[in-house]
Amino acid sequence: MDDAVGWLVALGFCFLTFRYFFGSDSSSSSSSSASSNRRTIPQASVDQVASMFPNISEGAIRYALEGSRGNVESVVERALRQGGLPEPPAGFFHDPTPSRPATIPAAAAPPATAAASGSSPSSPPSSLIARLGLQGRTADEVEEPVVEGKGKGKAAPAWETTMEARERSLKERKERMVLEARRKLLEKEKAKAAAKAAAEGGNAVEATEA
Amino acid sequence: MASENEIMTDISDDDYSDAFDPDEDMEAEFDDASSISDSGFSPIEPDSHSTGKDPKGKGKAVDSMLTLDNHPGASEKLKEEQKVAVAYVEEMLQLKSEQAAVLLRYFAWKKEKLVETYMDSPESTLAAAGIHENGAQPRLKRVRGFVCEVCYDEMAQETLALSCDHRFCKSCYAQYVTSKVVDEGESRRIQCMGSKCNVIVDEKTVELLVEEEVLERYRSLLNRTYVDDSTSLRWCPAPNCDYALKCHILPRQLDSIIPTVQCSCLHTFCFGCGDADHRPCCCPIVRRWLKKCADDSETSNWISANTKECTKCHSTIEKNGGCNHMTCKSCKWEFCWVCMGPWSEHGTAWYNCSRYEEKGGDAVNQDAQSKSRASLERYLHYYNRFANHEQSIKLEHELATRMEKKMEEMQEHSSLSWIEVQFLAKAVETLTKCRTVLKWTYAMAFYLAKNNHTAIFEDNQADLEQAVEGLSELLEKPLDEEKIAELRQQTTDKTVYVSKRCQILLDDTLRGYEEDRWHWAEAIKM
Amino acid sequence: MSRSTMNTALKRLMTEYKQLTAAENDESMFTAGPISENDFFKWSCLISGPTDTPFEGGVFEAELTFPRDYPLSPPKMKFNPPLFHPNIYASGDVCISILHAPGDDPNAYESSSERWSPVQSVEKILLSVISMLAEPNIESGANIDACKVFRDNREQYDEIIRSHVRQQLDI
Repeated sequence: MDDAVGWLVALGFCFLTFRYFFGSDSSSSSSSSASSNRRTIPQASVDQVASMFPNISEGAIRYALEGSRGNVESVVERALRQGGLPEPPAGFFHDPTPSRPATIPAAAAPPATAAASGSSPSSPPSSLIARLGLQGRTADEVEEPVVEGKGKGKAAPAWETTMEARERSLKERKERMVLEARRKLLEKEKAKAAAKAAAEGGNAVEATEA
Repeated sequence: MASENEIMTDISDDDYSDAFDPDEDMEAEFDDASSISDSGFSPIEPDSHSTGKDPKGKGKAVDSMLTLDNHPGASEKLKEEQKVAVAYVEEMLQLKSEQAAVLLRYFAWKKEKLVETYMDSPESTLAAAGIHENGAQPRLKRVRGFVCEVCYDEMAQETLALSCDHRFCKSCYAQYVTSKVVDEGESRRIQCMGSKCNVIVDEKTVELLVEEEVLERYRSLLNRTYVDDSTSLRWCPAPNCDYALKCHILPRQLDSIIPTVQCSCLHTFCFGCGDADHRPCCCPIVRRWLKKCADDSETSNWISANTKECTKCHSTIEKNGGCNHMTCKSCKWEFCWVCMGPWSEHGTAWYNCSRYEEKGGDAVNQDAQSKSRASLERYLHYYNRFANHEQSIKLEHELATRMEKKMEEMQEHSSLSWIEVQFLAKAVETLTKCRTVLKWTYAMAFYLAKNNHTAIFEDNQADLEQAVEGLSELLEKPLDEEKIAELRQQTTDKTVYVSKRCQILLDDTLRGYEEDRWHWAEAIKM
Repeated sequence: MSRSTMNTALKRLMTEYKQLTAAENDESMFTAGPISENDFFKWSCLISGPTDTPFEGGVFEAELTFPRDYPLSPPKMKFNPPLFHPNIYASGDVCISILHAPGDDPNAYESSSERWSPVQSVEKILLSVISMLAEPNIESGANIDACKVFRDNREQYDEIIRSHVRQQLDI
């Protein structure tokens, strides 16, 4: 039981710290009702956010929702602003059950989700790059596609005669498509950043001239 | 068709013989003003149909029954009707017979609507039904250098295109039609495989494509759609019965008419909803009641339990017969199964048990909680009795087997012949039928607003209830060899009396519908 | 399902695969083919996000599962990971008219939406899905949240998708 009390204290501390940092928009309710909110994040809200950000872990979403006292809108805004959500502190969702018997949503969640929320905080859905095993080829991506483009040209890929060759050819084409897309997007972002910098620079010049 | 003619003579009494359309002699027309009341429940009287009519001639009674024999020479009758309709449209609109058939199926065999719509705008009507004008009847053809868009095969095999000219190879078409017919049970709406093309694959084309077995299935499906599409035809819902019945009734009439029909297989059912005979309740009430029962089943589950405790000695009693007069085996206490009150009070005051007394008139002062408890109590009162009769009907199947044994016994111990002991079988049959009626009176009573008419209805209900229990009790009695003759007399008399009470209740209720006498506690819409 | 239907399906899938491969070039909006040729009824495809939409520049992976009686019945399509889009279920399953056989509605001929028929193909499905990405149909939404955000807060919708695009490409 001592253990349980310790967990509760730790939990409360985590929560207060969290609120101190992120709770700017939650000013209307007392801390006691806030702690009761802690227990009532409906799975539906978590799923709602998760469906918009498949790359953010359920643990992080739940953590953020608890911080915003279940306000989905503000969590979505924050995820967009920050490009993600922070992972909950270790152990945040691993309290021994007896210490918080009222955590119905978490306890009642189907085992699959429970397992996911337990184990997935650090495993958002893998990116295409990861799934195709292209991590090693993203570093020199600026050069490579140009070479490939020159090498294979615009001709349609040949129809290979063996099963293995066809499978390999399909895989290569997929890889090329992904790397190409990544290169273009990066270029575009660079160009955009440059344009923005130029525009700001221009503004600055104008400002000094004025 | 002998059986059909018999039935038709049966129903077409003098008032109705001119109602038959000479062209469509298969139809028994419903007079809008008439309601149905045929007991068919009086096995003692030979002519049940004539007893079904009101002697005063106020409520015209007719059972519109028509059986389209689907057995020997059978679906032929249905096919014949379809042929006549096709020929009519073919001639009228100068179309090919396949086109006429597709059009008729599209319009659910409503000839008049079809002709009217077609006259308005022939092209769009044909297009909507999936017919290409001037299209030649599809033929199998080999086309040089043809590539089928479905299998991408270039082999020179036979191909087929409907009037829309979307050409595919025969084997793909055959596979497609076979899967539609066999897997999906589709027949009249098989369309061209082309994208966004709604041209219908007609019967002649199906003949070109599929195997004999599939074709047969296709034709029987197609034949069935004739009945399915028609509002005046319905398949008999009895299992393994292939008859279709015809009856003209509009859905909006169902709140005042209960179109009860009997099929040649002897199954009696409501033409309006297809459910088993539910007189004297009309279809909308039945639907509401059954829905309510399904919704409230949780709260009333305990009622369906088959056991209760004896109110005196608390030993558990299982109800194993249809009779409500219970005698506790251990303490000999006699009580009523329905209200658990002493049986001695029931002899003359049975109505205490079948009529729900609204307790207290100060409804205004009641708080919401007790109101809802009162409404639940009220529901349970009616549900209890409804479910009780339902249970008794089930148990009476066992009673019937017991009666058969009793009848054998009687033949052994007395001079009665087989014919002469049939009174027992008749009694059981009457009992079951009257319990069915009684059962539905409780559903009806639940929705009736309290007024004088309802009071009369409930009196009739109580009379029938008492008569039924009396008969039931008589049948449960152990056989006394000395008094077989007496028992026979009593049973026969009681059976007659019970049918009479049932008839009175049904006649009055159905006349009530006609006279718009029933007022519902809540709005009933179809 | 008879043997011949399955043969038809295999033959047809093989032909489609061949044609798709032959038609491919650097401008192609998609690449598709069986994940392993041991199972021709499971394809994986990559789809490029249509230009002038928040999907632009992105690449999305989806799985096509074909029935044994293909092309009489349509395949199923599922984005993996799921895309946030009004016509894609939270599970990633795509809900689009071309993946449904014509329904019982006798007036279906009136509706302009393209339905499945055996003359449709993988290529037509993928093109339809690409145009669906560009123009969601919120009348028949599969993801209510996405419908709401799309209708009420387009900026947020665009931003959610752009962040997904970047995440998928490890940017």
